[in-house]
Amino acid sequence: MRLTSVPIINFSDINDFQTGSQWTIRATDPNTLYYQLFDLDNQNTASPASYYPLNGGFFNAAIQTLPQRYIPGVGTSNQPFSMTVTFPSLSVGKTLTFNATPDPYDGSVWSITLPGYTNTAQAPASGNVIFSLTQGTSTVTWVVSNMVAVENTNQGCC
Amino acid sequence: MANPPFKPGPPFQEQQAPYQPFPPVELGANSGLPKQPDFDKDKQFYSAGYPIHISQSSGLVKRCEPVITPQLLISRYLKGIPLAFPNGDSYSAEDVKDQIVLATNEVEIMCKITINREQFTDKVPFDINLYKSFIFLKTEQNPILAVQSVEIVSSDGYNVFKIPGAWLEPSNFSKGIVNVVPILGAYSVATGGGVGAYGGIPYLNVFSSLTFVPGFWQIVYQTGTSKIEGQYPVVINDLIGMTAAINMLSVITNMFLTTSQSLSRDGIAQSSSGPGPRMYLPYIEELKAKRDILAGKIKATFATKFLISNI
Repeated sequence: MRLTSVPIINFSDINDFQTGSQWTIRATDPNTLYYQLFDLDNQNTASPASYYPLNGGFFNAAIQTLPQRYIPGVGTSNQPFSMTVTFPSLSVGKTLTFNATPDPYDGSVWSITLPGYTNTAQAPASGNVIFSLTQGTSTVTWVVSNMVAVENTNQGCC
Repeated sequence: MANPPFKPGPPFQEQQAPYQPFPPVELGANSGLPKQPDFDKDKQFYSAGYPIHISQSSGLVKRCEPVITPQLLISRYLKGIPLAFPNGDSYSAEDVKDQIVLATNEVEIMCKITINREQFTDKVPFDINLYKSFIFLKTEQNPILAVQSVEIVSSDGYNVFKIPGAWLEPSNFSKGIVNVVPILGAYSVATGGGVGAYGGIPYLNVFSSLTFVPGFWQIVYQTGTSKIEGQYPVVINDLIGMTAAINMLSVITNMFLTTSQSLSRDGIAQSSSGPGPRMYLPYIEELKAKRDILAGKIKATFATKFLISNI
């Protein structure tokens, strides 16, 4: 099981959101960031199948496959479960870790809440995001590259 | 599991350097092993990473931005270019993201710089001529943002002597050059800076009888093009974007297989011709030329192209 996270943008409710390639935030703004879990090792062919061609079309193109979403905490052996989201940093004390909260209606959708930072140096930095999911006694960790882009107010120097 | 505090690297076990000396060096004054950097306290020049030596910015010109996104890459370099192939394949946002990762690594190797802030440990040889030139030390990686320590450390990780941070001259860090100027420290002693931190001047005199010692000075330093983590100079993003676009265009242009086509039926004929696989070659060549010029300028900005020494 290799899990990954797909960033969600424009989340209104569990039936109204879009997935994106990364979160784009401003360093000093408070934000709630949503993401959905997928299992890369559990690829199903076209879900729902009727929306995709039965063959690869011309030139034998591969049939499109999609990873299935993953809902943590299913089954007694996967209890209790929790997830953290980490924005890494090279510097001491600058790595930020947040406890994520599952959506009450869809356990594959999680969110974290960032406070507004008055000092941009304390805000998360653009780049990779590290996820860690604990279910029962098992913990899995994965990295999503360039998942967050953080815009600063003064872009004249860095 | 959290790292022991003396280990190098970011605070995740799988990202640490793979080698630790054995027997392990105890944490404390005798340990010469690199510690996790504290960027707020490590020695650095009082300016931003880019533009070099800028100390205040109006913010009216955008020079820094987060790493280039797939959307921005397409918007800047691939507008009007089909990202789908005849067999049904296409470049997805994840594929473009992967191309950006590849291009970022290419740019680092091409320009001999570290784009994001990273920590390195070098062992620089002792050269009597450079030593007499205020201990001129050239690091392997560029450009330096901050220096954590310059020490004489034994091969098994024991600290023999540490040069006080006040003696390190940071104005040439951007070129990968560290100078040790103990005179400035001596002046500050005279003005009440304290004697203890500067007591090593007589110690340094001992080395004047040596000529060359390999792996003598250990420098622990951070390099990168930006002091703000995750922010890239726009010119670096430009170079990454062009490199990724060249790589993608090289694949796309080969999908245009035919150079000429003709169709005739009952005396009516139609023919057309085009560049075929050379479809995007002029654009690729143009991008390559621009990239090479920009790479040269970036190398000149962030690194030293030559080193003068006495042999």
